[in-house]
Amino acid sequence: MKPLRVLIVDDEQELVSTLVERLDIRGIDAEGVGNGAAGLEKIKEQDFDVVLLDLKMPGMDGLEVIRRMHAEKPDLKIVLLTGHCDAENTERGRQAGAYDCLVKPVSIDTMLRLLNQAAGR
Amino acid sequence: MEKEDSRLLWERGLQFLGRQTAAQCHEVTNVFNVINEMVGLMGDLAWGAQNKGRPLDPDRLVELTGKIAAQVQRGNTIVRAINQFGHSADTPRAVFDLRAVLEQITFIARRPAALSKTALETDFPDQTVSLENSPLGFQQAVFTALQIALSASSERRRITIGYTLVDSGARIEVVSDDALEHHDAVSEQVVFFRLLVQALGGCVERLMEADDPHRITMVFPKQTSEG
Repeated sequence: MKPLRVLIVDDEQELVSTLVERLDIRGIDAEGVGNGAAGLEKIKEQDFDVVLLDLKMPGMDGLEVIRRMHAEKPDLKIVLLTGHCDAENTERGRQAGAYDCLVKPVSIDTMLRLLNQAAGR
Repeated sequence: MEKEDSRLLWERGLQFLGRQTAAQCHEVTNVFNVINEMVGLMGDLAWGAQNKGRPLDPDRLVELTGKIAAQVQRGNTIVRAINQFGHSADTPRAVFDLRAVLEQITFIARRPAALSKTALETDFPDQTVSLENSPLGFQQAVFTALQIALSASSERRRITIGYTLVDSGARIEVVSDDALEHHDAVSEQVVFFRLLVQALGGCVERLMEADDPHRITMVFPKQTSEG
C-alpha cells in the first residue's frame, strides 16, 4: 500500500517541521507549509490524502482555506488541527466541510488513527 | 460624563482586558504545543534507537533541546507580558513610562495585527516621558486606534506605532502604509475611540483626515485633573 500523503498547514513553523518528521518516522509522506495560500498552491501541485489544517492563521483563516481547497478538490479530506476546537468552531469547521477536528496538543497515535480513518484506511 | 458612557467605557475596558489576556494565553498554548511535539520527537528517536537499532545522533538531541529551550524562553516572554498587562488594571490611575507601556501594548497587539496580514512596527525616539493616567485605559486607546487602522484598510501591510514628546505630554501616532478609509464598520469604533481618549483627558488630533488618510494621532497630557 502506498504511504499516506499528508499536508500540514500551520503558521507555527517549528510545529510543522517537527510534526512532519514525526509522521515521516511512521512511514507517512508528510509535507508542511506555513499559511493557507501556500497550502492552496501545494494541493494544486500534488495529491494529498489528508490535509491537517490550523484554524487561526495570518491572512486566510482555516475556514476560508477549507472552502477554497474544496473548490479546487471537492473530495479532499481536511482535518482541523487547532487549539480552538470548542463546539462552535467544530460546528463551523464541519459546516465549511472539515472531516473532523483535533485539539492541540494531540497524541500522535490519536492523530494517526484519524488520518487513516479520514483516508479510508 | 453620561452614566451610559461610563457604563460603556467600563464594559469595553473589561472586554479589552479579557480578550487580550485570552489571546495571549492562546499564544502560550502554541508554545506548549510546539514543545509537546519536540518532546514527542525525542521520544520517537529514542524508541527508534531502542527498538529498531536506528543510531541516535547526539547532535540532533542537542539541536532539539536547544529548540525546546528557545520555546521555553518564548513562553516566558509571553507570560511576563500577560502578567504586566494584567497588572495594568491594578489601579485606575498610576504614573507609567510611556515607552514601556507602548512597547507592552505593541507586543500584545502584534498577533491580532498579524492575523490581519499586518506587520506592526514601532518608531520610538530615545527620550521617554512619565504619564499619569489609567495604564489600562491608555493601552486600550492605542489598541483601539490600531483596530480602527486595521478595519479601515483591507490591503495594509504595515502599521507603525510611534510617539513624540510635546510640552504638555506626548503625541501618539498610529500610521498605516495604506490610506485609511471611513466606512460603516469603522464608524462605531471611531465614536468609542473619541469617547475613550476624551475620558482619559487626551484629545484625538488627527483621524484619517483627507489630507493625511494614513494617520491617527492622539495627544495625552503628562497629568490629568481627573481622579
